[in-house]
Amino acid sequence: MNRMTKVQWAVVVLAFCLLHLLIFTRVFYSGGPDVQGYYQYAEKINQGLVAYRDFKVEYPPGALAVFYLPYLASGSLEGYGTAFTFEMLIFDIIGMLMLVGTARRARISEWFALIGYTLAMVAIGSIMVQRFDMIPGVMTLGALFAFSRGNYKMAWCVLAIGTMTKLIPGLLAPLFLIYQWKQGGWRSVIPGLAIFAGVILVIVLPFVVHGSQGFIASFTVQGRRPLQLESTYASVLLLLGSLGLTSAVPVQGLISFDLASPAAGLLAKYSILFVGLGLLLVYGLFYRSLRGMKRDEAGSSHEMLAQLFNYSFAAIVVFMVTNKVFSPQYLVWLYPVFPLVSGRFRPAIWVIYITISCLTWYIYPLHYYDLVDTRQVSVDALILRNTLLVFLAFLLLGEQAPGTKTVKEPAVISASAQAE
Amino acid sequence: MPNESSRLLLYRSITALGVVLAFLLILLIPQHMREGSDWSFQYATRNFSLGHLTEDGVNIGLEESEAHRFGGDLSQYVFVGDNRWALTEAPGYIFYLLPFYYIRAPELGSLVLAAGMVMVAYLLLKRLRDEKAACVGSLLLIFTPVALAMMQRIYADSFGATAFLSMGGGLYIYYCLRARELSKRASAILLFSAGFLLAWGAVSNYNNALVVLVFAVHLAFQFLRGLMKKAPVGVYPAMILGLAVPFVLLLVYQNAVFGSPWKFGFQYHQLPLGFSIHYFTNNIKFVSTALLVGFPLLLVAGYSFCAGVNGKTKTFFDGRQDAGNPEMLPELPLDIALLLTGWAAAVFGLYLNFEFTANYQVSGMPFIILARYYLPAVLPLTLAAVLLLTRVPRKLAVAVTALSIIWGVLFFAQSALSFPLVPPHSPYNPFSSQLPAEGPGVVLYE
Repeated sequence: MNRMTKVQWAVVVLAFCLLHLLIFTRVFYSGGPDVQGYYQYAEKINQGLVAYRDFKVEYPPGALAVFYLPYLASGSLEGYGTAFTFEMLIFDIIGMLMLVGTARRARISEWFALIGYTLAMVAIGSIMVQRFDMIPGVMTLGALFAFSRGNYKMAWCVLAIGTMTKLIPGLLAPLFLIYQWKQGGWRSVIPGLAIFAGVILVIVLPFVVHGSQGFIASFTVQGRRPLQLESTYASVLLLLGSLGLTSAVPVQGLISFDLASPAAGLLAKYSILFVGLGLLLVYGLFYRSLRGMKRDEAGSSHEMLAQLFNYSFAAIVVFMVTNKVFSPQYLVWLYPVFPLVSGRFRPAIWVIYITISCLTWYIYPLHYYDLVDTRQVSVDALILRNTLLVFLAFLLLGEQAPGTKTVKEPAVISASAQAE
Repeated sequence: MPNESSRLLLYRSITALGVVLAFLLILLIPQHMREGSDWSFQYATRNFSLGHLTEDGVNIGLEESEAHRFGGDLSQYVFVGDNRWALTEAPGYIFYLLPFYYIRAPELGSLVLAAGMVMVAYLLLKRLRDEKAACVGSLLLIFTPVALAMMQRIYADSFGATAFLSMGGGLYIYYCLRARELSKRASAILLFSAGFLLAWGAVSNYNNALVVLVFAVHLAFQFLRGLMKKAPVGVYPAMILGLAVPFVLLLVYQNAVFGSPWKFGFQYHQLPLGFSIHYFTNNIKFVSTALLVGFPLLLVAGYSFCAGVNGKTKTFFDGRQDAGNPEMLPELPLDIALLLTGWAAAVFGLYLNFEFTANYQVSGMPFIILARYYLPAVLPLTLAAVLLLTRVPRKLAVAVTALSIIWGVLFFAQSALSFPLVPPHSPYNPFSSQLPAEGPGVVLYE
């Protein structure tokens, strides 16, 4: 890239940054009950109370740093809300910069990446600044960014920090492992794994020492949750309910609105099995897609990277589809990685993801109580959203690995040449 | 590997089977009379069958109270002066339904129209692409949730008016694509039928006149182009004649009912049925989700229209070749692509400014109440979607098709089952063996 092009790109990225600033501060509605909850956590930390021991937290310890940071800027709730919005904006812009760099490495148009990133952000809506889920999303992208530059140790480190903020980035660990194993054998995996485990240990250890019960409870509380109203399983039950085949009634649970239905308990109990099977499928297909690629072949590393991005996105989508909880902010996990998805189905994936985001906005916050009242259009919007998400997962997993073709083609050519 | 003729047979059999399944589905799932239009049209059919184009105050009162007993209302009947009450809606569909009513099988009316619509769509897609696309397109057309749901509501005019419009529009496009191969006689018959069906679509639903206008503009353009190129234009009057006959009949009806050929029912209604650009934002808010549910191919078709027309316009202005580009609908000449876009735009452009669906009270209503107005655009949407689907990777096309059909069945079933049924003892349940005049245990006005 020559100097002029660099300057041009700097101007373009700056323009996008200003656009994001405008949207975050002028279009999105900040604050809300969750930010209020984050503020209360920050207040308690400020009072010297120890998380997990002195007060209950339902998030991993890394999230506490995210909650506390805006408190340093302002001690009032109103000021905290504004500072939280700017915290999210900073991570969003960091994500944008990393995205441009990663897209360039993976030979994906930077324009496409920037437009996709912005479109997704607008489609997801105000929840971007009302929850902290952008941070694990950007951490995921950060790990992929470092990985794409060959800085594997840094990638594992960022992944570990992300995992300790919200467990989602951890879904990528097996993908990193397979990738590195295919590139450099088992030995090359060990340093990365050691760093991943080490970083997690460093973050976790103080909290385990001070309040192991509370720390463990922060994880088990999620596992004990009933079938949440917006989950894929709940939407199937709601559809069956609207056809008169079962009863499906939304009820207020401890953490969220859940679904009461004869099959709900069973589905909630075994959803972890579906999550495991789904993720195993993703990892298996990723392994198969890399198997066909030659390690040192020119262009192969780009294809491998493209596969890594696609399967990273797919792993998160499959988790969302199979999990018994599907909160609207989960869409935020996907948006930093979404512009990096490539392949034959990319236009379809873009349209589907943007539609899913818009529908999620429609469901929450616009028509959430219509959904709780099981009004038909809102229930249909949920069914539609989840069907599209399942379809998205199938599209991502159904994509043929480019490497399979490139390896097979010369054999076919040589066979036909011999026949001639 | 099957040979060509067995392959053709396979696609036609699949299509026929799909149509039969759709028919079974709408016949097996219990029938509803869910809105004022169903009840008003049902009573209008009975009144028209007795030769009453209008009713006096006493009779309409009796009919209204009778409808109330079964949870209905006659909101589409209005006072037109001189102690006379008339239907606000266009009467074309009722006149079509009368023969089926006389033989006590009104449900056959929409089934016949559905079969006709599928046949025209099949012919058109076969001409545009191939037998496989025709099969896929026909199935997608009939399994559209809104189409299935409105097909089931045999007295409401939505499906009938759409079927007339689709058959007429489809035949006209078919003629345009085959004009050079057809004899003058065949062309004249085809154009007359196209004109007649298009106009009957408008005579069945006044708002469809906007779509007919789009076709009239295309016809005028074709006529002028023919004149300028000194090509034969002698067959076009057949279409004009076809268009004129239903409109003349409508004027005669309006003269008899409203006292002047230029007065029509909408001038008398009290319902919020206006159109204004002010309603656009609310419609986008309230109707978008209902449209996505009701028309699963909306996104695919929208993308296809935008990319296709954009590509063709660029080609037209700077001479670039668009052949081979999957998004550019190479099967369609520019004028036909614009005609289809104009057709869809006439429907969406009109109803996205509709007062009734912009009302806050309808915001959470079932999708069918909001999305049914857009049904007249179902054929252009399906054509655009199918032409794009034939060019995307096969796996994707199969997945989208399968998903759309499953979606259609489920959302139709949901829509049909989630409303209170017509009581089984009601004479207005069309599947009861007796038609209204002979309903058991019901006091009927005669």
